[in-house]
Amino acid sequence: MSRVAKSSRFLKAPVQPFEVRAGATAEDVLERMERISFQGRTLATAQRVWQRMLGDRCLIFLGLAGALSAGGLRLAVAHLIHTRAVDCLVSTGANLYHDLHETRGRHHFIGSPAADDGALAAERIDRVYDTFASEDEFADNDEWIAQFALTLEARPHTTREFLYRLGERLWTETGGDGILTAAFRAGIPIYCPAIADSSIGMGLAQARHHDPAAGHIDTIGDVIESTNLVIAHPQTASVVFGGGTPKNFINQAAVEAEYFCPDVKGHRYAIQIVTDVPFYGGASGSTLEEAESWGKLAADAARVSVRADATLAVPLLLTALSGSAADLLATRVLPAFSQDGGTLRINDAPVSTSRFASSQ
Amino acid sequence: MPHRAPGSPKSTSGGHLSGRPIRYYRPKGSPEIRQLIDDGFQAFNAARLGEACRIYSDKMLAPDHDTTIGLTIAGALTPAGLGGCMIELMERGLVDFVISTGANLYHDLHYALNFTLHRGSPFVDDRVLYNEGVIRIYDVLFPAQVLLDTDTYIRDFLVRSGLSGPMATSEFHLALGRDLLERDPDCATYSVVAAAAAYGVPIYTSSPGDSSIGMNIAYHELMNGGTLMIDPNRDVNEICAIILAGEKNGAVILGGGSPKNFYLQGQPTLWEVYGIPKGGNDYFIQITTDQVVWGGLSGATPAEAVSWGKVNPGVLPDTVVTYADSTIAFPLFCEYAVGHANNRRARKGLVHKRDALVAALKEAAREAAASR
Repeated sequence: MSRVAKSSRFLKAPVQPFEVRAGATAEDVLERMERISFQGRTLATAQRVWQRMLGDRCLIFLGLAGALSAGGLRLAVAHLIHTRAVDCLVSTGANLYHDLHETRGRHHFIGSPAADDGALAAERIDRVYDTFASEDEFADNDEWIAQFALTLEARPHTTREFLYRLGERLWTETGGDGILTAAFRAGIPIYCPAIADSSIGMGLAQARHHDPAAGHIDTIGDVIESTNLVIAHPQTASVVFGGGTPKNFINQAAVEAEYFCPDVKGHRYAIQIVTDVPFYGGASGSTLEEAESWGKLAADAARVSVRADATLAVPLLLTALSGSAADLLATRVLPAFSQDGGTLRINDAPVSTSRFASSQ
Repeated sequence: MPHRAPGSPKSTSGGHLSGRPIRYYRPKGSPEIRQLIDDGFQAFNAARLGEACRIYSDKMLAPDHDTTIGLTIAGALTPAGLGGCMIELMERGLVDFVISTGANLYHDLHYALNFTLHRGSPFVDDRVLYNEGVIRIYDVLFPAQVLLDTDTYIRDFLVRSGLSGPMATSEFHLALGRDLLERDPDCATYSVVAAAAAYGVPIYTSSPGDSSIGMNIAYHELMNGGTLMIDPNRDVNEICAIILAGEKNGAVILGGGSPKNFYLQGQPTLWEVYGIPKGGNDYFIQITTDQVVWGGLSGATPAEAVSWGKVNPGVLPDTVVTYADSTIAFPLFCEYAVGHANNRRARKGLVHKRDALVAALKEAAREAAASR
């Protein structure tokens, strides 16, 4: 029978067994992982896609979900901001809160997933899987956030403006590196669509408790502003660690932008590193092909889904990328941001929080 | 080990064995469950399970399709009480042969011998269990004595039966099942191994050394000078012969693992080794918690199996993977089948036809070689 092919267009590139080399760099390891299989190769592909984003004048969104900051990745994210391998963050509140915790000089601690939670509760220790932190220090953070919020003008703030001011305060007070301070220093926007769903939200609520005029957050202004960013700079890319609310927020900006500007055709590049899987139907695990059907992704977008825990994939990927993309990063044409006076500007043009822009 | 054995000093179960006994659940064909599956399970894995139920009951079991159906079992399903579902399918002729891990058959013997496994909690201190002589399979708890007594039974059986020389696992399991039936003719109602012997369903194990049954056969050879030898080649040929004889072929794959491959390799054995083009499986139903993205076989899709000639490329609509825990999905699947119009078929009695089927395979392979 014809089951035996003589030669096949499918059999072009052989798998090259991975050789262990003492002292190999992450760059070298990931490059050679391109020629092994499964999620290892997929991670290597993610690096290629990211390099293409950097070389293609994109506005690069980064979505952060899952306990990345508590899990020790906050300075890796800060590095992405410093080197401008990303341009705009969308994060869960918790990742920003746990970043603030460490920027304020506190720590998360190495623990165990098998710890006795009753004993931890008795000592007011909070557990994040195998990582511990002090509940008392958290309570102090919450009040610190409340006191900061009380210093702001008594009017609604978008999360982007609020987080910019928060990063500014953190930077002037601590001079410490982190996600919020790096974003402030670079002037890039951070959106936090579910800010109420975090200790930052709890701190804002405490501010309201002190002063009813305080702690008003305008998340709908975020939706309009982020959409207008896409309209102003339609060449966009999406990098998502963990799925969740940030993944959706980044994608809905593209959908909303296309609604008002039919020329906008969805993100041109997409990388997601997620542990969730498509077959339970949720957005976190959904494929990038599914995103294409919504117009979230351009039809011809280069895309890759890495199924992996961010704590495994991100250190390797980012270390390798910092070397392999050094030239691209040095010569990259950046979307320029400024946030003086509360208004976000991209390449000197103000971005409205109240009206969608029309086609450019 | 001695300090773990119940009966030794300080060996109390400390209340860990107070949970209700696990009994094999026999599906009854509930119309409410059929209605739930047909009308309520409309999307995601609920819908995949509905598809699996309909492919199985409407198509694989349709009298005019005469599908030879293999059931493959991996994961601790008999300890979890799913043996009753398997017994019901075998009794009704809805499964023609079984490929199982050794562990599922070994743990089935506890039920056959009237030892009790208990419902428990997965959140217990295993060091305490160890000291108390309690064995844990996730949330299933039972005394270590159950293992010791089951092992004793197997070794007694090996001596009493006088089994010797090389044999297929199907033959070994048939002899074991018959021994259980002699001890207690009723145990076909509460033992998969006994029921398979009673209903003529061959049971194969792809890795016979990898379970307590294999451990005791090894003992028998070393300590009794027994010559009984499991011959995997016979298993490979028998499964291949059963598939070759099938008018249509289909599998219900629970979990994945080695049994999944042992079933699926049957088609490539035919075309690749024996030169007999059978065309691949006509139906493929899998219930698994594994995923495709890690590259392993347990999570591999029916589409990947097409490339190997394991699944007929024309029948992909009759393949489905339900991503679910078998302890949830399989009882529902069986309720649906038992309540369906095609809920009974004449049993094929394949365990008694093995020699003739293998002879037919040999003949077909000779013809194929001659025509090349």
